[in-house]
Amino acid sequence: MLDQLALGLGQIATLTNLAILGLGLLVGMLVAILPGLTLVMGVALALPFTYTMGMIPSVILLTAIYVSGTYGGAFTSILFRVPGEPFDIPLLWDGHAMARAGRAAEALGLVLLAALFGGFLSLLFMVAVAEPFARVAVRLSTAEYFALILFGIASVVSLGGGSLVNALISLCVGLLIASVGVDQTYGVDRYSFGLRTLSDGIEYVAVMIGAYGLGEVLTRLEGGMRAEDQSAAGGPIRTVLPTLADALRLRWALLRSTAIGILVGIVPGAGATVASFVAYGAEGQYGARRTKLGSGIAEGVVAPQAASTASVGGAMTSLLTLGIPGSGTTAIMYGAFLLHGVQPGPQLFVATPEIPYTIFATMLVSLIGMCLIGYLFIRILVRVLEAPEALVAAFVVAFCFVGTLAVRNSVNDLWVIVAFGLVGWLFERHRLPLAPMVLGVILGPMAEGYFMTTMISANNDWTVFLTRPVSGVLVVASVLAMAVPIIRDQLRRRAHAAPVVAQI
Amino acid sequence: MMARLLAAAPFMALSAAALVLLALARGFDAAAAAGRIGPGAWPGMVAGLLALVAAGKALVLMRGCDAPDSADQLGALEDQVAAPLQPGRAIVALALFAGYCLTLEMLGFPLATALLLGGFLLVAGYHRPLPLLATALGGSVALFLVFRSLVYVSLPLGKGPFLALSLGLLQLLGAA
Repeated sequence: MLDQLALGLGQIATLTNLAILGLGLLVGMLVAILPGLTLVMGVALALPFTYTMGMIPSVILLTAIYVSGTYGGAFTSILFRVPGEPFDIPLLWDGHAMARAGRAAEALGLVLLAALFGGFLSLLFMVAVAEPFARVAVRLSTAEYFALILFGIASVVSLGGGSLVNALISLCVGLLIASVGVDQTYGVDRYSFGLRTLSDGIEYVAVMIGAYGLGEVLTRLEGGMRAEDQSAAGGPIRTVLPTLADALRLRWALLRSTAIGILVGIVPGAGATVASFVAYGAEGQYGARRTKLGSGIAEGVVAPQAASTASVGGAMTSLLTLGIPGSGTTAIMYGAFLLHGVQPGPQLFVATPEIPYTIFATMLVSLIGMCLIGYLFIRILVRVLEAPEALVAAFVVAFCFVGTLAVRNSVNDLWVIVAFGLVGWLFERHRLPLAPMVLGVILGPMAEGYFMTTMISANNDWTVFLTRPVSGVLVVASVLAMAVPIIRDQLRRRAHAAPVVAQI
Repeated sequence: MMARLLAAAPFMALSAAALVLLALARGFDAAAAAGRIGPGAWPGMVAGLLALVAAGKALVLMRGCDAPDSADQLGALEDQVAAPLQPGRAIVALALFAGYCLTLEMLGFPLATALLLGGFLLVAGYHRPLPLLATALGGSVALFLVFRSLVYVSLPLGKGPFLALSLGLLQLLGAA
């Protein structure tokens, strides 16, 4: 294992790959800092650049963007009360409160500590668990894989926050989009309505670029692209690292949040946002100073940050060992793998071990690099916020179009991203969450493939999903994941209605 | 009543569309062997679920029974506090994007992208003429160079006089 990791480090240690890694770190931090640019969008826009690269430089670039992107958005959350990414929202509550109290430097130091701690522990987890996990995963059948994807989808729908019904609608739309084109089992043309473009299927990268890229731009355009007051709270912008005593005092919050981040990251489709909110919520339930959460305490800063960085390891483990993306960002990386003719999954460790170990090594170097960049250059990095939002958005639009052209050189694909830009905007207007739709598009073909293969093998006997132990447990867990929020919601409504009845 | 109908309408339309897709999915199963699950099974199940859920949502909205959950309430509160929305800008931007798709092959990448960048900045309310022009032209040329020469993406050069314009630009930049 260590010799494989050394092999991975050796892959990075060329001038070109180091430059690519550095570029990835910068891009990830800038994308995370700029509101209106999301980490998923940044990785999606970087994907076309990897078409002319080899497999190793591609994974180095995308991994570096991914890792540093979980850290960069913390700056604007703490200093300007503007979350760079959705998973930075919990940092507003305690992080910005600390900044308003003149303790911004301390908050930034805590974020650095949490990112390093969460990142390193999740990396250790990945290195220790990935290969043994892959050996187990090889023995899983299509029924288990289908149940796993079902569990991931159910988790995203139920954990994503907001209306369960809206999330389910969004998911179904995504699954139907994924059904367009020639089906993989029978070769039948579905929902193409005679159009050649649709017969080829709808490229999921175009869906992501359209929905997350153009859709987000349209939403912000509708809101007027207001330039908010960008004066930083908390005085001069710098980072003060916590002392060893402070770090030890926070050890349980760090360990708890890191564990949550890793576990949530493993669940297909969950990702950093869910990890961040769940960890903050857990701190509110079990933390020693839970009554003070939200008032500007250190635990409120380290919990979401440790979880969101730790989720990278979990999501990568899911991608590399099972071939199932653990988050929206790893879904893009899944596309990068396929682009280079490499199938992520348990065979990766046998056929091309240099790839997963290069990813591990990139994560290691990225964690150190992003913290150094953040610590030394934070003042320069946050200056990008001075750029007018309209200017940034214009280039995002241009990148969306050019990036899509780079995929298949087809103007028809541009129409697809415009269509999904419209869909993304409409979804936002009607408060339909976008993440389930995009995950439906990405996971749909996999889910259908495993489902169909299982059903054909079992002669249409659907109970096979319940009679196989692992699959059965996952299916039941999926049903519970969906049912529990509904039951809880009904009980809550009855509890609110009860006092009125009592009065009558 | 009208408000409830407007709120429910998109979900009713979605449900109807899902029913159409379900009906179409049944036709795909002709390719399957007798007694075997066919290619219409998966999309049929999904379309059926979507039709059901969307219809249910529409019904709840029509009856006015839909108590917004906390996330919707938060969103509604944020809308009240925020400045009024300007959907017209988004619609104009969409028209701009569609125009870009229509004219890209004719005008070529440099000119079409310059118009896209400049047009978008205008729609977004950025009205400083010189920086706008510089961004539109400079940004287009920079993107053209980067994607053509560094990333090796084959970008449309245009037709007729616009082709001559693109080739002239390439020669000027020494990238021909």
